[in-house]
Amino acid sequence: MMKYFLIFCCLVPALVAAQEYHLAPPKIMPDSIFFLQHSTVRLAFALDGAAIHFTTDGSLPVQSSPVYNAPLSLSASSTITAISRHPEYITSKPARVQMIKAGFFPDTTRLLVQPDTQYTGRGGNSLSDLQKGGSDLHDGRWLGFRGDTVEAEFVFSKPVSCRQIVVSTLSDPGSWIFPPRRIDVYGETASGTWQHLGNWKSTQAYDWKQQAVNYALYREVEIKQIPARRFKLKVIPYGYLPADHPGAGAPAWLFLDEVIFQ
Amino acid sequence: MLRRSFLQKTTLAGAGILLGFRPEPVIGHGDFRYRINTRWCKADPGAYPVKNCHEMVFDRQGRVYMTTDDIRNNILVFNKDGEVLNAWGHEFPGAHGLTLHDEGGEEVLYITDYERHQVVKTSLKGEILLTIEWPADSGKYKDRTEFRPTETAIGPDGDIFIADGYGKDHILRYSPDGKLKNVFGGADVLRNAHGIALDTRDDKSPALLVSSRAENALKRFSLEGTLLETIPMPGAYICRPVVQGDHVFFAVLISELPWDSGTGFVCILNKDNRVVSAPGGSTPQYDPNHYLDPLYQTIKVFRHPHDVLPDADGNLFVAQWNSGNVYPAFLERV
Repeated sequence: MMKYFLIFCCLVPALVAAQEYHLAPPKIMPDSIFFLQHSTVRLAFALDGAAIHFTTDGSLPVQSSPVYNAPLSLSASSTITAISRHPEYITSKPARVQMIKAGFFPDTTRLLVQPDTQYTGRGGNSLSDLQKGGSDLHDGRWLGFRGDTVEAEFVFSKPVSCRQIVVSTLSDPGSWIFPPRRIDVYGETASGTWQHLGNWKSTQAYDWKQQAVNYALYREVEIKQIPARRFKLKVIPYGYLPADHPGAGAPAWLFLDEVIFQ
Repeated sequence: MLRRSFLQKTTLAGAGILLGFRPEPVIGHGDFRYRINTRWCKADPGAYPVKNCHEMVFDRQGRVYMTTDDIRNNILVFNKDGEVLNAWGHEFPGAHGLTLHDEGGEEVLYITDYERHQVVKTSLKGEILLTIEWPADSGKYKDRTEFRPTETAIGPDGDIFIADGYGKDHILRYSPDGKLKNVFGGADVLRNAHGIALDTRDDKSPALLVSSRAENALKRFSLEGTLLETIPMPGAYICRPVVQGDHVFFAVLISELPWDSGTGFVCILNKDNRVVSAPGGSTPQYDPNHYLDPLYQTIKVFRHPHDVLPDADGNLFVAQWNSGNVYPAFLERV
């Protein structure tokens, strides 16, 4: 009898232990994802007995990471990563929000190529308003282009010397929205000629089936630092949808909501 | 045999206690807390397969009827212990909304089928009693494919209110024999009019409670179609409201896009339409101006809850869409 009891003791956890549930990740709620001076971030996870652990450098939080108890004030670009923990549940997957600080803010932004009439946002201003577009593509913050190479011009009140430009875009391949293929940046030199300052191009084949919907896809273009008052951006879209896509052969959409000068 | 079973049970229980056995967790808030039981349903998936489990109702005898879009058995009937009593229906590829109406002693079901672009009234055993086709004479539709009904509610006089939640978001009122009487709502007022219920909480003036799912709101209409009130439910993509006593229950399919984000939970409102519990979701909080903080999922008990069925003891059954072909879960009120 004792032998059977011991066997049962080993089996019981597998047989009758309560099902274990994961926690959802906490909410990360910035005042503004894009900012000039500083931004405040609130984290939330309203479950009794739960705690939020977070980091600001993009690393994965662990049990020894700080516990959130008051809004965070940021004055530099940061990646907030946060997890929910609770003694009765499995720790959540991380939530992550990349916050981007702008160094310079253009006076005027002009679209040299017009967006599709369904997604006109607020014209060129949409690219320079420090407003992040959301999951509603009609929220007025997104510009949607269908197949065209996008060109935009940014004019500053005085010459600025930028080291990097961040282009905020989105990917939702199921909705025919693909990330750009290539980005080129030009600056106007003191002599009035346009100089190519740098580019970004995708280096890997884009397997659209493996891509989750991402409303915050940032493409960073490192550029040669020269003082310039005017910059021009050319964004080359993905092109035609691939053969295994339901919309094969039609041009992919390209969406942009902000261009940040650092 | 009996003795062995008793020994097994007592040994299991004893060993469980010795090993620190934990019962299933309790979720929810305030007076509405529930112990999770995902193993309520005893159905054999080989015999009674489900794809999406859409909606559930009780009949007078306490049997649970459920719609699924698996045409091998569009309607499954369970007893309170989760055993299958009956299964029927092979012709409803878009079996979705399910409403039970007591027609003076005779209980009937209304099934909405957005694939067939029809609403079908049946007996409890599946005999078809009435079919409502797309409202060609309403002037609101080009052809039948624009009509994709998701839900029905039956008015105090037996009129049939149909929510065209996957179509053009109209609410269409029909007489009990299927004659179109009125059309209201529409895409200007409702965004994804996915569910509709007769709101009987004020017995002097029954109204309609409609979910504007993509807008994260419930809207109250008079039976004549006047919009009376918008009840914002930030973060809640509400499937259908279910009124029981003074409370409204509903499944929140997701709390953030995309539609398959797996971020659903359950919600309970009191008579003032304030959230009093959100099992699987965040603790409901109102700011000093009585605005509800956005709700969100906290515990991944559910992926995409699609309907909630409260029983007379206050327990809940929860059916899910696109959640790995799972049968309904049971939430035992504690």
